[in-house]
Amino acid sequence: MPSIETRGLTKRFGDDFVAVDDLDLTVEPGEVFGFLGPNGAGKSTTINMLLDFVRPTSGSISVLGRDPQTEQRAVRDRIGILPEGYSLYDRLSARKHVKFAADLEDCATDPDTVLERVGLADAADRTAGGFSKGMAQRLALGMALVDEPDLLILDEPSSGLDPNGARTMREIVRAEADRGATVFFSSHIMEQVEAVCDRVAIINDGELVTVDTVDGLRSAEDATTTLVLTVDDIAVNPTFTDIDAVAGVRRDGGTLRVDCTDPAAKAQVIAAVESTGATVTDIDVEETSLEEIFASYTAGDAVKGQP
Amino acid sequence: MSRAALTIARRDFADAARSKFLWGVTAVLIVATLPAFNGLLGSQIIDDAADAAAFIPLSFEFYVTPLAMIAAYRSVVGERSSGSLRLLFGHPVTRRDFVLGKTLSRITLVVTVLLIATAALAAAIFAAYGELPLLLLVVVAAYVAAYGAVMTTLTVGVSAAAETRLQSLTGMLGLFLVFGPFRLWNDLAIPAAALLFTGSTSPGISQVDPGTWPTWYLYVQRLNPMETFTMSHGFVAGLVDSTSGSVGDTTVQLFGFCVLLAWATVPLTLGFRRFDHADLD
Repeated sequence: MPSIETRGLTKRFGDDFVAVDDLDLTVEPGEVFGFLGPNGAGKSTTINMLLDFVRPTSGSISVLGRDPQTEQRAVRDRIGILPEGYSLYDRLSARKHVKFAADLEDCATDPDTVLERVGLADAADRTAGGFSKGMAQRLALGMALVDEPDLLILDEPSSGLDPNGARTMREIVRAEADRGATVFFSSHIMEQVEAVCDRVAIINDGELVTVDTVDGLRSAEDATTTLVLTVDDIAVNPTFTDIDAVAGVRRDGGTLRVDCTDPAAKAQVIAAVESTGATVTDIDVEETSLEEIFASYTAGDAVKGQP
Repeated sequence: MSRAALTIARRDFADAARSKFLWGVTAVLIVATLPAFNGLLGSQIIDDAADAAAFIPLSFEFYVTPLAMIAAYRSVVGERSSGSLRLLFGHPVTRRDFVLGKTLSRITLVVTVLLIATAALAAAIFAAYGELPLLLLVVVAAYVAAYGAVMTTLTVGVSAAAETRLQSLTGMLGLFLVFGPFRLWNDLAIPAAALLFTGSTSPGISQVDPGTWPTWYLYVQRLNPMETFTMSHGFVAGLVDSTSGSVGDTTVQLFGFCVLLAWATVPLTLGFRRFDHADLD
């Protein structure tokens, strides 16, 4: 049974805005699943539907094998969430927030252990009213971890976190996955997804663009390795017609840029250059970054890459 | 009542107590009612301690609704707008648990304030007459508390139906204007009902002379919850102390209580239904 399964999931706001369009998504138990897309792509709307904050216009949702709308309590008993647009109780201390979560879950979690884990042990007695965005994010994550959820749904978990906080977040995601939990999290920054995800879905304009492993995305058809060779003789003019993996050659003075669709062709390319009598004095390899892959999938969007 | 609803109610009430809201509002209510009440004691209007105790609900006549409004207009829509509701929904909490928990805590809040204020008025009675009609006081206090609970539940219902805090506040203010001291009810609903029952909007009824009141008028009056509260206070007192109360027409009185019960349940049900179907984004 998948941890999350949507079929034909669609959400319209008003008559003319389709936030999520016919989304089919399957997240398997135990995997860390990245949900990637530029701002406004429909990530939060999708998550809001998984959590039954927002009701679908059409399509079906199953979370841990149940309908989140008709079985609110059963689903929420087994998930932990870090939604967008939440707020904490200003007058309640960090410890009491976690205690409140434990009371709701009816479990005997020690709040201090949780706060230690998310790096808020020093602020346990401070009220959340004075918390920075990053501290609030740590506390909300702590509340989500109470009672060992089977599924964590995190909406832009790294937003507002400093590099330290982002690392803590990654470590916790990894640890939860090792414990056996499924982690589903959204981001608009490829880098964050790349570091922890088993699989990635890319969504743009409400539609699913692709679902693949990180490696799979990298080896997708437009992912190429560019070999940058500096040669001592600028007159050299090698031919690569024998090598199938060479997709194109550009030259700029003594620098040759050879696009290879197969990284293994690099030695052949170098041999072909040296067979003309020239000496290769420098070799550099440029891999297509996942950021570029992401950009190519969601092209035309002006806001991508915002921190 | 689910465990989750109780947990939510407990946190919510503790939060209100911590905000000092409870104590501030209680102090204001006592300042607003006690001096006037104290001035009546020993005057010709009040005969004795029992008479004074029976009069207590009238002291709160125009304060219970504003109190319920202040205490509850944000109850549901506040957490919905701020987003603290979202974190709750990562735990085994249904929308129903949330509304029930909020209803419970805000009723507790309003009832606590009203009981403290009632105790202050009772202290004034004891100071003036040297005695306390305990049973009557308990019944009167319960009546005031129950009315407070009705108006609070109504407010939570409006808060659940609203999409913004302003909508909720506006809705409650509208109800207060219609039913409260501004007499819009008398100026609008009564003539409309008169037209329905007599064919004329001015059937020669004097609001101060019950002798001119036809039967339909007695019932239409009771549709107004604030009016019912004041008009039934004598009936309630009369249940335990016949000297200080007047039972009147029992059917009309019972109708009034049914109306109060409807005000407690129908708006909350409708508000919850709207909240339950809403997109909380």
